Amino acid sequence: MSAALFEVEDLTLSFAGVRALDGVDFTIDEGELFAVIGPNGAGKSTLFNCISGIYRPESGSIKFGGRQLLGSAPHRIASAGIARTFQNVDVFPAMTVEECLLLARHQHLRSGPVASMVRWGRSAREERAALRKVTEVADRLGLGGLLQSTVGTLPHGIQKRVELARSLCMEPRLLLLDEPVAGMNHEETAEMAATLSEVNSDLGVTMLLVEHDMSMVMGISHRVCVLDFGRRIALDTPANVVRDEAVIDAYLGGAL
Amino acid sequence: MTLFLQLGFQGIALGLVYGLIALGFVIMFKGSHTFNFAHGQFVAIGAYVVLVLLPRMPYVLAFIGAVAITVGLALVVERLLIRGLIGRSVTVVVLATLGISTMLHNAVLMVWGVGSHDSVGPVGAGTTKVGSVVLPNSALATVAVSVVVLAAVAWFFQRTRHGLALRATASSQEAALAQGIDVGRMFALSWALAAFLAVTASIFLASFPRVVSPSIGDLALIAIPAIVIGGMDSLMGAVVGGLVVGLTQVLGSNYLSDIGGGRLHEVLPYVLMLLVLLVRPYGLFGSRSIERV
Repeated sequence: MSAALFEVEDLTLSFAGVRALDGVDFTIDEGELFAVIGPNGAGKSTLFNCISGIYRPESGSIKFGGRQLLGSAPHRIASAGIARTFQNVDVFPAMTVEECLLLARHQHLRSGPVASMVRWGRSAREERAALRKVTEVADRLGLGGLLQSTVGTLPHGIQKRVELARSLCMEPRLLLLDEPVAGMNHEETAEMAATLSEVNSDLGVTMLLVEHDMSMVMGISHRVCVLDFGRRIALDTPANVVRDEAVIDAYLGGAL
Repeated sequence: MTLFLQLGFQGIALGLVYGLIALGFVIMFKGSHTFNFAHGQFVAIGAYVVLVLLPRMPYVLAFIGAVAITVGLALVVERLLIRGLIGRSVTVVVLATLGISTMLHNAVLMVWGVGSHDSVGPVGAGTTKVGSVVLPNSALATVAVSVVVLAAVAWFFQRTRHGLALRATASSQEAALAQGIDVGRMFALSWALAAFLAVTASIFLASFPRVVSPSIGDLALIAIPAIVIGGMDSLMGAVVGGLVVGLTQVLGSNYLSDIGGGRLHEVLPYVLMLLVLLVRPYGLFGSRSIERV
């Protein structure tokens, strides 16, 4: 069996006796754009929080590059190369876009608190390299002109883009996206879908996307995993998932 | 006019010292959501350590030694006594810091007794004449050093990655963790920074009046009205609040000395604080959401 980049095995977690996740399995290959969908309460957010280290599942395993992630603190998981975005944008509203993106370079920098106050030698080189990366990512996501703007004053759609840029500045090996188009209008959704697809193919960033918006997911994902009441009811290409009897019956109803 | 300028300068100098202490409170409050009532004792301990080290070494070394010891103490208190309480109700954390404050205060009394000692200010009692205005050298040194330290702190928060990481932690711990920031280390860093500011303030606070005594710890609590006036979560507000309190005290002690037996200036900062609370509960520079805490 070829080693996948990311492996979730038999993940189970209950809240007050209700199984939020019930033996969920899947693997994600390097470079894949993988989506998890499901109705409200299907366990998508729980899964997300298990991966990012906020919840501790009762059983199962989550492996990243062959290494067990369960039990690691959230910041260690991030440093291991897993970036994430939040469902309700969690940017730093009082910062400028540039500061917000520079922060994502924090874990790649080595100089200590005192050395970083005196811009000299390594600390100066590090800062310059960080700024180059930030500018490059901002340009790619169309934020180049907004670097000096305060994040909190920007429209919601742009803030989501800043959040995506911030996660890309971490140069992650896996990017977790929690409903990246939530609260966006049609135009913004289409733009974000195009951006995600482009980032995935051009930069080769592996993505795990959790999303409500069906058409968006079906349009850009390589494979889709469908959850219902904490169980995996389908795992296939988008074309096959929309035809899947179990998916249509249990979750999509007559909508498709 | 000359008297007013002299008093005004004294007020600014004292206000900057309060500002340094208030800034420490705000940094800890923002960084680890702890209102640390023991902060005044860090100020007192800083002054006493300088006092002990001073006869044995040059001033700068004594200061650095005091910073090292006080920062070390702050880190131990944060890690062993406070870290485990983070996320609990504000009341629990505040009561814990009150307990720690009493313990530290009594430790100071046990080690150094109740008596007062000579000032540990970096400059002597001389004065400098600027035009017709006579300024104490201690006040000049206070203003010069405070301004440099405040500028360095501003630079740290605006331009360095650790400053950014601290701001991120204050803004959203969850989002900071997602950037790979070790939030626990940021709590420690905020306490270390606050303790450094406390020691810096302590050597100058000991110039108004010129003694080191156990009551320095209580004297430092005057930073509380400064923070409330400036806004609990505003670094800028802490400094402005400190200046307001310092000026109020010095000007009040002179111009209002006929009223209330000459003690009115000690009450004025608290009167201002209550007025601000009534009119603008989040302080002059604080963010509005703070009133929901």
